[in-house]
Amino acid sequence: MTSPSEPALALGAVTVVMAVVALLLALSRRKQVRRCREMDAALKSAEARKRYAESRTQDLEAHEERFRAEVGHLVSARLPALALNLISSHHPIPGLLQEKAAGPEDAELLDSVLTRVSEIVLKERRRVDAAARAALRGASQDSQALSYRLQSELDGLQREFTGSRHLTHRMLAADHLNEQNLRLIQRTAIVCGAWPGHVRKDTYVAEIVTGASSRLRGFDRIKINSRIATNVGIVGRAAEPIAVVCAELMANALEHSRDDLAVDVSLIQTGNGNVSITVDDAGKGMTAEAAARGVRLVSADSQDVMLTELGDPPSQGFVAIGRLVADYGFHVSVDNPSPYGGVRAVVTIPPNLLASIDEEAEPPSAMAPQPAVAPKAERRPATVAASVTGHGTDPATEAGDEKPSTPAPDGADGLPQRRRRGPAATAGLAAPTYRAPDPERSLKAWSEFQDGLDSGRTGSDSEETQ
Amino acid sequence: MSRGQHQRRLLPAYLATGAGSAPLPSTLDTLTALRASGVPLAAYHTPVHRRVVELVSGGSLTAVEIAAYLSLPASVGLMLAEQLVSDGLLKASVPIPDALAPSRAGRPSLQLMEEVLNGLQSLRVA
Repeated sequence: MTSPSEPALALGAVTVVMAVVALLLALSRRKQVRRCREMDAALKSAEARKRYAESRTQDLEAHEERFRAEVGHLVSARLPALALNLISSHHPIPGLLQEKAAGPEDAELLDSVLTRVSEIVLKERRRVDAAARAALRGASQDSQALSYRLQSELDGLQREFTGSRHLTHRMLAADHLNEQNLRLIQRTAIVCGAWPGHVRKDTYVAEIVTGASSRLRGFDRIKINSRIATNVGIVGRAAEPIAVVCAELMANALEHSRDDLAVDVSLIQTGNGNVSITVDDAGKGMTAEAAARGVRLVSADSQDVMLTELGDPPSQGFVAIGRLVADYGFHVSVDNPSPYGGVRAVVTIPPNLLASIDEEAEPPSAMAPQPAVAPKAERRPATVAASVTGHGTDPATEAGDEKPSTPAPDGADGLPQRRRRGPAATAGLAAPTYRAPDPERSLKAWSEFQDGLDSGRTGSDSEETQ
Repeated sequence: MSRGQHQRRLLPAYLATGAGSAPLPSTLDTLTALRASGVPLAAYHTPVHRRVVELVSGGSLTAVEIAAYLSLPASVGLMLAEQLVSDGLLKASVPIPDALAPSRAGRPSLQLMEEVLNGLQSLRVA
């Protein structure tokens, strides 16, 4: 069987094997290539992921950095600025460090910190302020009550005592000091939420304004001109509050004008029935800022002004006025210039707070100014006292109720007439004096003088001889 | 704080006399009669001064009466009267009890009055 075809066979077999091997190799290579490609792809995606992870880490780190910086900014700059802003609103609160870079959630979160802190601070501030007000109000009201008792004592003492003039003077001075003290205490109590302290009966406007002026140092400088009817009064419940308001406005006027300048107060009744009390000073006036603050404080909607907002030294006057305006419903304006360039403050009292008072039943006090128009001549009727001038010859021929506008020619036996603008009468006896020397009159007067002396002498002579 | 029949005072008595003036010495008695002299009021006089002058411009009143008319304490009425007398607006006369007591010390004697009368008569003749 060994034939020459055997090598061929062997060759063929080898070829077949080779072919198979080649096929296998080819197959394996393809597989290899595919795996290579797959590995390549995997490597690429892994690199991409790594890059992604790296960039994300960088982003997060940057974000954390920014956030940390924002929190640091919040603590070091924004919160202190908020605290200042809560004290006075013209302190600005800075925004975020990087408004645009920060995400909306971050900005919201950081801003909510500010909102929350300001809520807490304001709530706590109100609580502390209310406690301080309550303490101050209690102390002021006790002190006010004591001052009223002192006032009663001093008033009683003045009425009982008629001794040395020096002592009277000092009693009046003590009374005045007590009134000034009372005004300050009452004002503090009102700022702290107390009521004015007592209810009066219906009171004349002129009396209220005069009474208010008496509570101030330097009340002599206040000139009150009344141009309202004498019977116009203020209803009892509003009398003391309006007195307090007038006292505060006049105190401001006195304080802000020079010591030798008068403060003009005028009372008028306007066409619509309001009574206006105008206080004009000749001071420097208020700055626009001060005027705006004043207007805000004296308006009815400035109810909850806190003690911490009063400033240092505390300006309590306007705050007290604002509280009374809100409680009693009159109106106060402080932003007009006065004719002298100072401040004109006007208290406007609506008709529902006015009352008409019977002047016969309750005559107005002598201390209140009388109105410039139509003064009511309150004259004493002819009394026995007229005949006791120490001159026995004076018959009691009393002039009527009308005021003599020109001096009537004195009869030699008539009572001396009042001469408003006559020259100063010569000092001495109670004999009538004349304007110009007149020989006839002189003769008559002297002869009557002599007659008088004669009769006096004969009278005393007869008494002596008896 | 004071509600009831007692009304809290609104107008204190020192308003009547004015604040700045120094106290004058006591020269008047409560029963001294006062009359207006006709001198006009000055700017520094208070409305109460005006009322006092008006009260006595028709005739004389004593200081206590003035105080009572104005419902002021008597001591303040006296102070007012002394202020006005020293300003020349009022004239004070001797109180009535003094006038009724001729033997009171300090008053001029009858002899002195006669001498004055003689002097006056001689003046008139001349």
